[in-house]
Amino acid sequence: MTQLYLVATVAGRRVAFRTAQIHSVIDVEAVTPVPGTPPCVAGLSALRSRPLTVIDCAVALGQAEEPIPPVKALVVNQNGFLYALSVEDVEDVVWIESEAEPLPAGRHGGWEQAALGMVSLGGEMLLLADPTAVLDSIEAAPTSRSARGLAPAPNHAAAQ
Amino acid sequence: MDDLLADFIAEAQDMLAALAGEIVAWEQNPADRARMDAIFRFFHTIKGNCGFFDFPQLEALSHAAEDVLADVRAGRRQPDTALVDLVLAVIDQIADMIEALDQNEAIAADAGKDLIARLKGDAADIHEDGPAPAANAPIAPAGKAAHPANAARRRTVRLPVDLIDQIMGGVSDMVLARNELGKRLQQLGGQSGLESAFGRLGAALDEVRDAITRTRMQSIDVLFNAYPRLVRDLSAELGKQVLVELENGDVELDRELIELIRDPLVHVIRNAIDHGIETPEERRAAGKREIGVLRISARQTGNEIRIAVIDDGRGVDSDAALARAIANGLVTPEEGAKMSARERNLLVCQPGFSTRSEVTSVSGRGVGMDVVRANLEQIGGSLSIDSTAGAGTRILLNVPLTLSIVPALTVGVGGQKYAIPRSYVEEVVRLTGQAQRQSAVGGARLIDVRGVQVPCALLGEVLGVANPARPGALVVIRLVGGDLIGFEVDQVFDHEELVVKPLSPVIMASGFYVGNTLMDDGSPVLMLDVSGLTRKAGLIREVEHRVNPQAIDQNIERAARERVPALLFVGMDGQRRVIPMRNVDRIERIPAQAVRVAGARAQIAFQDTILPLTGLIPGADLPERLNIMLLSGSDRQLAYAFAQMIDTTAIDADLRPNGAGEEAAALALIDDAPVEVLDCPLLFATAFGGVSRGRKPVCHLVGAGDGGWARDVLQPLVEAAGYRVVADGDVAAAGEADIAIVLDDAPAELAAQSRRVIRLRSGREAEQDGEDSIYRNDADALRAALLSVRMEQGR
Repeated sequence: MTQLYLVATVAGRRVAFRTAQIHSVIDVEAVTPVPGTPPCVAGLSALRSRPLTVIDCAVALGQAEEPIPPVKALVVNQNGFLYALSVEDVEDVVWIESEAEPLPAGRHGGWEQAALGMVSLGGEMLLLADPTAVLDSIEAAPTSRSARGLAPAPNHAAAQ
Repeated sequence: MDDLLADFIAEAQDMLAALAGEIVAWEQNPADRARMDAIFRFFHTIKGNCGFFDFPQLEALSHAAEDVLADVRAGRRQPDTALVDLVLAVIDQIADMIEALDQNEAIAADAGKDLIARLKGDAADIHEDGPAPAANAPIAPAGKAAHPANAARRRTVRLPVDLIDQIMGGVSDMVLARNELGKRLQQLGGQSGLESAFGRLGAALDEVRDAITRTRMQSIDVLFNAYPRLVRDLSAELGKQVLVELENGDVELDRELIELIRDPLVHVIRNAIDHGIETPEERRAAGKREIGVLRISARQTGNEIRIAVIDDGRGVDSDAALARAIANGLVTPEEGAKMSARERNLLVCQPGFSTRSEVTSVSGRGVGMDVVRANLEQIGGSLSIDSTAGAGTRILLNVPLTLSIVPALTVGVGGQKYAIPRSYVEEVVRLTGQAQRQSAVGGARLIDVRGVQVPCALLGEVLGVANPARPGALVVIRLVGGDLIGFEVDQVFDHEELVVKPLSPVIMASGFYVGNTLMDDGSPVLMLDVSGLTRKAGLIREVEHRVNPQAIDQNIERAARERVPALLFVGMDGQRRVIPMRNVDRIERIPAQAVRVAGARAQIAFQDTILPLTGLIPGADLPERLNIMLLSGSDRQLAYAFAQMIDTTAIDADLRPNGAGEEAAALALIDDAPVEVLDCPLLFATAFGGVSRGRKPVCHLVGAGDGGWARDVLQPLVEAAGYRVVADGDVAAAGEADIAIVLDDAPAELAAQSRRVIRLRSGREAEQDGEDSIYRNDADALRAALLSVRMEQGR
């Protein structure tokens, strides 16, 4: 069955997404940082007048430590909330005829949590990523930046 | 009322439309319990809503139908075809009545009478199988006399929420585009020729935005306004006396939510009056006021609106509820044994449950609570019931915040704007230079806000972003429990009404925010969750700490370090002095003629009385007009002259005497300089001829020992009151003491040398009433006693 796929670059690799799962592709402009959230949350932006939570895809997949300033992002609607998955680049939308195949055996270092399998594009095998799974993995992760931000307070009385 | 009626009609029509499918399904399978429950709820809701209006025919008909279905639910009747037909005829009749109301027509006086008779007749003789005479016979035409009050009723339409959301989104987008365009036009320097047209467009857009926001948001008053009437009618019907107190908390809610909680709230109120509040006789017998109190309040807490309905009635008997639930087969005894009181209370929300065998026309059979819980859970809310048998019930409806307008204070932290719900903000204090005194106690930091020590935290630090070295303002927050805390922010921007939208779960998980809002330029601003941040910052005292009785004692001991407001002034001798505000009655200017000086003593005539005047320099000339303070003692007044008032300030409540000095009892540190604190007891004692100058009265501390509390806390306090303190060993040398203070268990015989004896007890409560026994931590009472001894000597 032929399906439309969107090819983007995440952590230096070409990754495919099913277009049916993508609301739109946007250029991210201003992002408001949101303290206290996991490192992959780059901040808050707005798509027209709706709030948009910007997620750094590479950080969410454990491929990077700190988010880079977002430029291009894939907008995903998850349970009525809009998320922007920021990626390094968006290449193109392509038709792929073959079905998705399971990932080859081996360690995938975090990629496997979001992978639906792999698809073949012009002889190259691309990881097929599931944006829903990416977002689910964040919600499940308990670690938060606030834990680091709340180191014992120095004596500010002296500073004033 | 017109709005209410329109809502009622629209809702009934919606329910009728939704019911159409249920009716058909029930007809095919009369044993289908779920369908029947839905129809039963319809009758119950119609009957309930009639409580607002005067539609006796409609109410009687729906009540009769409800009774019949209740019998079926209880298994007393079988839902045969005849019964189904009859119920369907009732629904049709109700639809006709609603239609008549919608057309501004009155309901015929006898409408539905035949159906009621048949419903009741059938109930009396279940096996009568006669063909139902004209079940769907045309109803008597409704009277054509138009209801005069309804003649001008506003026309309304019902719209899908999605459509309104789409319009709202579109308008917001237009506002953003308008602002962008405005910026570009400004860059052209006002030379484009488009300015006036753009101005008109902008103004029109603002109006549209306001209007569209109003289509979505409604004050919770739309619900609350109807309650006084509802409560009055219900309590009259039930022979009860109920006082209703409403507190709307300035909450504005999404219309959708208001519609969804309208019925649940009415049911809860009905239940509270019917089942909760007792009759006046019962209340009298239980030792309560005859008038029951029903409090209904709404408040936004965190990311939900919390609506509380609190009555002071008999409460829910959770054991009886459990027993009945077991009897009705809703739970097994084993399950019941494991349930908490709260869970047992919630059993009243089970379909078909009732703790009262007697059925009234008001709240029926517990089906209301069933609907309440279903409606709330449908919107992601929750219900909890807390009850104390005999004392009352509190029902909390938690409604999640979807979209709401919240008055907020916008603040800047780390170069970013945040919003704080205004309902939490007690005050904003600008932090300028040295004005605020701070103290670091352990890991906590306290800032002095006009004498109140407020625990504080840098907001940027709590959030994990940088704060500048010197924050610009302190936002003082009053928490729900009444405690004050403070967050230091870089700057405070403005008060704004913000449309708050929900945030994604990923962000909500931080516990720092309740929602976000878009500013006019399209940038998002996060609204802070004050209670969440307070917890994260560790600023909330533990609950057990707050109710611990020892904490009260500690507070009293801490009073020794408390600060009190005081007046800073310049005396007649040019020296700066300070006096605690509590000693000053008023400040006056009097002409010099009113002063009479005789030797070292002076008096003034003031408002028909002669008062002693102190503070003058002996022999100095008097100014033409003299500033005086009127000071109050226990039962006397005196005047104190001064040259000039400087300012109000705050001093430590309990300053210790510092060295010798005739009138100065202590020194306070004001602006890094020592300032004399006026010794009021001494002033009184001298003015009224009490203590001879140079001789301080003597206080014997019996059983004080060499250290500890008596030496460190008590002795300074006694000395501050103008006494010389002698211990057990020195008492013989000192001669007769003016007063003896006997600690707890010291033998009283040692105090025999004293003119007056005060015993300090360690318990708060006196074993025997008597003024010569004072609780050891009650510093004020002790000071008063010491002063009164000096005053007595003056006489």
